[in-house]
Amino acid sequence: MTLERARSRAETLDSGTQKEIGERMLAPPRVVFSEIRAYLYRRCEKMRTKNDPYDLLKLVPESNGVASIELGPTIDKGPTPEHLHFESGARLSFGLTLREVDRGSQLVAFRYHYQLPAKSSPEYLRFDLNEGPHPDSLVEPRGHLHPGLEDVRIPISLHDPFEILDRIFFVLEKRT
Amino acid sequence: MLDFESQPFVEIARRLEMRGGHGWIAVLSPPSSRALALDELQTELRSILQVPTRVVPLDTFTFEGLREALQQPNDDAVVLSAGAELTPEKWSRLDIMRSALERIGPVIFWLAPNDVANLTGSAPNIRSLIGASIFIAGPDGGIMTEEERRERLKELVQYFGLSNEEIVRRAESKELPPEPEFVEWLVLLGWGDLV
Amino acid sequence: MQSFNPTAPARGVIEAGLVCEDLHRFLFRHLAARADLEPGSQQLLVGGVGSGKTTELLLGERWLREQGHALPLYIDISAETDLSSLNSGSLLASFGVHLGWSVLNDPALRPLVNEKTEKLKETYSKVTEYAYGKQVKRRVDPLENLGVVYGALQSHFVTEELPGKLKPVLARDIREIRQPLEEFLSVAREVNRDVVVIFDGLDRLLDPTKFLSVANQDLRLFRELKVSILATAPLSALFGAEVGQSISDHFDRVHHLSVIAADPRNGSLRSVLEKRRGSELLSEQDADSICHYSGGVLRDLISLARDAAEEAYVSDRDSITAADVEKVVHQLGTGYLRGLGPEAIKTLLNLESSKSFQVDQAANVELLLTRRVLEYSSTDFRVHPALLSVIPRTEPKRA
Repeated sequence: MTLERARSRAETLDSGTQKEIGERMLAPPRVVFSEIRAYLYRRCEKMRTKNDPYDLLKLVPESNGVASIELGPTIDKGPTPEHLHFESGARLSFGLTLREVDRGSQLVAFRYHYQLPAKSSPEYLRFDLNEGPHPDSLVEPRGHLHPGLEDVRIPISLHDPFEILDRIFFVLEKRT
Repeated sequence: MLDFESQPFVEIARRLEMRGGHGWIAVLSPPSSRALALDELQTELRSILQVPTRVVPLDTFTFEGLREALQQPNDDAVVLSAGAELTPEKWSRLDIMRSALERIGPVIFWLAPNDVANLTGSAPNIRSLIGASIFIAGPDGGIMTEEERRERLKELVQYFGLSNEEIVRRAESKELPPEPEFVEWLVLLGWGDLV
Repeated sequence: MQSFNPTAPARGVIEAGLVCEDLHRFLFRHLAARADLEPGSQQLLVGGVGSGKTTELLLGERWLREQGHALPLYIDISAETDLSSLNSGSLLASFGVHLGWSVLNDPALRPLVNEKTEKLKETYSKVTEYAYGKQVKRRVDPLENLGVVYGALQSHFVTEELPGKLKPVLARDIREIRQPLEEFLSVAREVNRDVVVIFDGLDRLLDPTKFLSVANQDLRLFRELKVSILATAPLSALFGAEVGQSISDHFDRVHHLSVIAADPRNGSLRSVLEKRRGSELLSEQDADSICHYSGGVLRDLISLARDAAEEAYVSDRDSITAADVEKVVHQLGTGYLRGLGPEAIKTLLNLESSKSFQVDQAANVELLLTRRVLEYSSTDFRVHPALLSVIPRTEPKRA
């Protein structure tokens, strides 16, 4: 079991992610935006904390075929009114970039930063999809989870935007 | 001149959702990009109401055809699209068959801005079911404003200690890290082609 | 909020217990009783859009069923056929289909039906053919095509569609339907059930000329068959031109479902809101305001209450405020205002100031039909209050 073999396996994993991205077609960016907003509406209606997805969720329209959907600040430096706040005390911010392809879109990159309530361990979970492979795929797989540590990146399989939101709303929030 | 309330499509869809997914609403289309706006309306209706959405044009309707279109199925969302070609006489004929149009799923009249006169004058039975639910298609507040965009860029510049120009330069020479924050940065700058 | 759905089918609203049955002083009982006691009688129910005609007719249907003496058939003819090209025989055709179906499926009539099942089924076929048409194969003789170069020398068959009364175009002989109808009626009458047909939807024919030209022949046969009729008609049957008067002359009784005034002493409109638990949504003041601005048009009353609640909800508030009511009244009024020319506005302002309204003028009848003007009686006309709240009032020119 050598480092070279480990790197090779990591690169194979990244190639798999790349292939999956190419094969996974999503709806056009504006439709994905509308669907995420509707999803958040449904979830927020059930929450005691007041969040208005209409105000929080933003679309950066297509620039040469690439659009971003964002909620909350790009970098989490503490709670803000732009976050989505959960009853548990946790908060969420995310960004999702899509490229228009044919009559749909493909994932380019995403980040979902779930900051757990104060005094939790780990302090946060962040699901990231990088735009491309890192020179060292073993250290930074293209799709990865930060378990409260910036330097630790656990590889994750490719998820569509709703799958991550499902895990946050229906799994992580339920246990806190 | 007095006008109706402007509502973005997502709010129009939410209103129908509040009504249990039933009801009749009239939406006045924007004067330009009507087809694109209609697409966006359908998107919001589908997302919020979670039912299929169809557009049924009214320019050449027949009683049998329209009744069948609205009743089979009768529980999805139907947008009845009317344009300038819908004369007062046609509005009248549509009004006469109002009962045949009643259904479980919502009915959304997609009207040209000056069609309300025809609706009220020639289709009072339909207008009665619509009531006060006549809205002008408003801008979607979900689009990031210029001010919001500038704030985000400022936040990124401060956090990473790099200027916008430097980010573009690094992207052009393929030196930019692949993290999602940098991708969003480029999109905010309007440099989606460097992604 | 679901109980405030102005588009909810009236039957469901009645079954849910949300209707004030005494709103029009139990008019439905008078209508139904006369229809029951006088077989062959013909009564009209005239009212503006949204006045509650369908509800009143359905209450009548229910009352007749409960009494058990009659077989009531409620038919919304506007849902079954294109009224704008209605032709004679259409009402009879629709009646025949409903009657046949009812007779064949009524448990009380089952023993009688069982005795003559095949005959009655054949009769039902004739009725449905009359109503919906049929396909027939017609032999085409090659000699018919002299002058045309043909490959075929032998005769052949073509399938043709013969239209029915409910798929209009051809006018067919009304007498064709008489005998099948009599057969079904005789079955019902063997158990002492006279038939009352309730035709809803005819009020959609805002132009009374059409109503008269079509209904005339059909109505005559209904009378001969001793089938009582309750039918809706537009306001133009009561107000306006001579044709309207002709319509009224054809009927034994014409009932006017007038608009209900928002009189605090009366309280009728408030009771409509209360029946739907309006006090859970509205303060006393807002309820009064909605009653006033609805003008007494029942559908406008229900939809204003619903819309005000909706405004509060989209603004993330737990209760309705006066501002919500104001907003929806403004919306309703703006809708009524659209399309009104200067002359019409002048007429409305004149009505407001002097109470003067020439109801025999065509343009004014149109204001009634489109609910810009509301009729509280045959002589009491007023501008719809929601419209009045937004109508432009020009300043008098200074000398």
